[in-house]
Amino acid sequence: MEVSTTLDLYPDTTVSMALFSGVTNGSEVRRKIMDGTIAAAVINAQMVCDPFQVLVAVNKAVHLDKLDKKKTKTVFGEILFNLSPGNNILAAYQKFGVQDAESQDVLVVLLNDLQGEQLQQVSGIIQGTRIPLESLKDIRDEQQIIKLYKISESERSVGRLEEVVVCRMATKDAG
Amino acid sequence: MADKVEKGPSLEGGSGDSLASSRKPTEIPTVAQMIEMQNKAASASGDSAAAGGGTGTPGSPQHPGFVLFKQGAEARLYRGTFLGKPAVLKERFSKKYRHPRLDEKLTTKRTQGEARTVARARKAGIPTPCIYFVNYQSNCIYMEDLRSATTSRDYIVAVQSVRGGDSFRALQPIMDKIGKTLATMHDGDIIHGDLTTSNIMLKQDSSMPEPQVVLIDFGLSSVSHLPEDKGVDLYVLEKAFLSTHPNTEELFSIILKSYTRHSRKSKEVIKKLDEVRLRGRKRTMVG
Ligand SMILES: Nc1ncnc2c1ncn2[C@@H]1O[C@H](COP(=O)(O)OP(=O)(O)OP(=O)(O)O)[C@@H](O)[C@H]1O
Ligand SMILES: [Mg+2]
Repeated sequence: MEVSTTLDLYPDTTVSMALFSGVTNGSEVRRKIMDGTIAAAVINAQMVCDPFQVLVAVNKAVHLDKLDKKKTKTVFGEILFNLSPGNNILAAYQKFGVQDAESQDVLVVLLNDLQGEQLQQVSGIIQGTRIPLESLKDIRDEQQIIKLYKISESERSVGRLEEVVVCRMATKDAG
Repeated sequence: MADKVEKGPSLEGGSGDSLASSRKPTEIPTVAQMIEMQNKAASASGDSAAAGGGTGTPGSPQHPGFVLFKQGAEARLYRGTFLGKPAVLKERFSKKYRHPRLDEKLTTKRTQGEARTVARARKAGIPTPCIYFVNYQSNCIYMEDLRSATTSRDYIVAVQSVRGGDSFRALQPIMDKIGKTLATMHDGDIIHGDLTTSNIMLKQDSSMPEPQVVLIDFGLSSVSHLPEDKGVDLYVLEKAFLSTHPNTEELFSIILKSYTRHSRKSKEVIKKLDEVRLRGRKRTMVG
């Protein structure tokens, strides 16, 4: 169920994603991200249109990491930041990171987890149910995504929602 | 090999519309047919670029998996795959005769400008290829490959090459759409800066009942509310249009009419266009 992709531009980097539903220990997960126990991006799945959106964020994070030009401290923080439409790091973490909710769906993103050990470790911490990645499209909250990115009717008409969002993400530092 | 045109029943087989009522079925391709023909020709010629990189194609050394398909004066265009999607890579390069440091900055500015305007255009409701990633280090833009699309240039040429066909009538709805798109763009205070029929693409996939105008190549774009700048933008297109497609004054005027109908501030813009035309003519008379 772990879906892995190699980045075209950085073939030495493999990205894996796993989706968890009904996660009840959000604050514990957040603590373990902060203290470094969890080396992963744990994303609020409601804000993700499509795995492609996440891959775009990862590609950019790895790119900036290699150039030593990250805006945040870790490549995982950078993934959350790249997903966000704005330049406020805290706001990005709040919207796209683990929530305070009693039950939530999260998408876990791991880098170079070739043997699956990292996923095993994270799965041991997260209290929730692994579900197929395809379920993302049922979880995504289109209205909330549209609101956060301030997508107008005209912009929405230009293409599929994930494309609208991806193009915004990719061009956000164009000024 | 070109398909035979002398087939009995037309591809559409429709008999209800007025065109089909003439004895011979129309031979002017629709936009969808044109795109299909182009894609077939590309895959038949073993065009690995059109096949999205394909398996085992080494591509270019600097861009593994990407295959060059157009070398321009300021940019190279490649086809390949980006995170599972067919993608076009536009790489701007430095011009040797300019000062290297200065030039690098200028090249990056163009790349950034293109990305910025694409974002702005989409917000205004103008379809453009979706940008996936911008590398400001190498001045590369990775974007959606419009595979179910053709340039309006190729389409106009194809339609006009059908002898005895009513090309004006066939192209009219397309010109109408182009005028409307340009009106929306200018109402959003976006100046394209390099309007040509190669930079105006027509997209139509199986889910779309009608072709859609998609604008590309925003490297020379700017933001301005001045009617003068919009007038010059239209003038650039007029010049390019009439030189690429000779004797199409009447056809081009459909774009302007549609623009006038759809733009909020068309009156001043068209006035400026007239002024710029006059200036252009004077210049050529003197020179
Ligand atoms: N996203 C795309 N999808 C499909 N075809 C494309 C795409 N972008 C460009 N093309 C094709 O490549 C041609 C050249 O692209 P573009 O206009 O961006 O480059 P250019 O004219 O060389 O750039 P510049 O004017 O900045 O030097 C287009 O006319 C079109 O046929
Ligand atoms: Mg061009």
